[in-house]
Amino acid sequence: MNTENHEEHHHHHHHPHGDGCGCEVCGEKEKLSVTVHLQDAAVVVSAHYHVTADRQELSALLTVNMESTAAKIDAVGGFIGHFKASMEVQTVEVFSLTDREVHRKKGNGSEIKVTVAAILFAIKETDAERLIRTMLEDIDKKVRK
Amino acid sequence: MKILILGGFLGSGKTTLLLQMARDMAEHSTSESEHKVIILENEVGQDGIDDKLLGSSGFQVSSLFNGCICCTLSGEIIGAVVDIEKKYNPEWLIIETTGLAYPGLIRRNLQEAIGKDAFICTIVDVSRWKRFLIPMHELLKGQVECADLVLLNKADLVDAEVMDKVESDVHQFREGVPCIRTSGLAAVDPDIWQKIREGCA
Repeated sequence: MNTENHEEHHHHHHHPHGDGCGCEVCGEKEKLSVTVHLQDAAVVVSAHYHVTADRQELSALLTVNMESTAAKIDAVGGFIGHFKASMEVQTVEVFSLTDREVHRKKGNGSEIKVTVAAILFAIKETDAERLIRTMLEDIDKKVRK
Repeated sequence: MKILILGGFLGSGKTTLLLQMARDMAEHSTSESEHKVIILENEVGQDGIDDKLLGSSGFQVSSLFNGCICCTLSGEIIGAVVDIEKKYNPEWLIIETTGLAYPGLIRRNLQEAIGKDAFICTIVDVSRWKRFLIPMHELLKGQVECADLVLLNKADLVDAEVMDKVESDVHQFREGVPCIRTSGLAAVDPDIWQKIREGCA
């Protein structure tokens, strides 16, 4: 059922990867993945995107880019059943004490996992996949500027 | 354990209303169980979005993803319901369906497999009803015709004429079903949740 492709690897390997592959690369978090399947007449898109970034900046980018993607879905004749995303934000603060006083250090950014779920109609699977993938790639480019 | 199936098309406002409904049920619960309300989320995609929101709002959430519990996951829903009752013994189990589900099939499956009945509350998005009525006719009909109660949601987005037409369409699908107008943006009248609690009793 899961047709997820192993993409965006950071290293090259010379053995076949697949479900259950325990190598270091496959175990590494994928930065961006998009999968699509059909449920009756609905095109179901699931996507993940991992980044270390400023939470508010990413939130603003996600808002703007979801809205522009919705317009693009409309432009290709599709319509939206629902189109949602969630941001799970992890910030790290370290407390260290070697003598009597605690020193605190905080990471500069937050590790953020974005999950996207879209159920669309009257659109090709390939178009749906492309639009959501492009949306996340555009966000990634802007975040890294 | 009382079971409520919360159905309705995609984007109708199920989760928004569920947050209020679940809070109300927890407040009025007389159960001594630690978890008075358990929510079971179903999504056809690989991952959930709403389960995270519900979990971070303080609710105990179980999830079934990658299929619809009215068809492809019809076996898994039975196991999940049995496990939840055994593990948590809540007063309420609210099953929030995917917007593509037929709630009547879920109820029938629960009745036939484990002898459990369920109250079906269907949420209708009055602002998008007309747009989806023709292309999604069978699904919208299927979601309404089994309902014990229909919430005509997003009432703030339409005028009285549109609202009356939607209500008339709903009654074509299910004659006489009680319909209540709601807007999830504001606090819903607590009497509505009381009706649901009483309907499930």
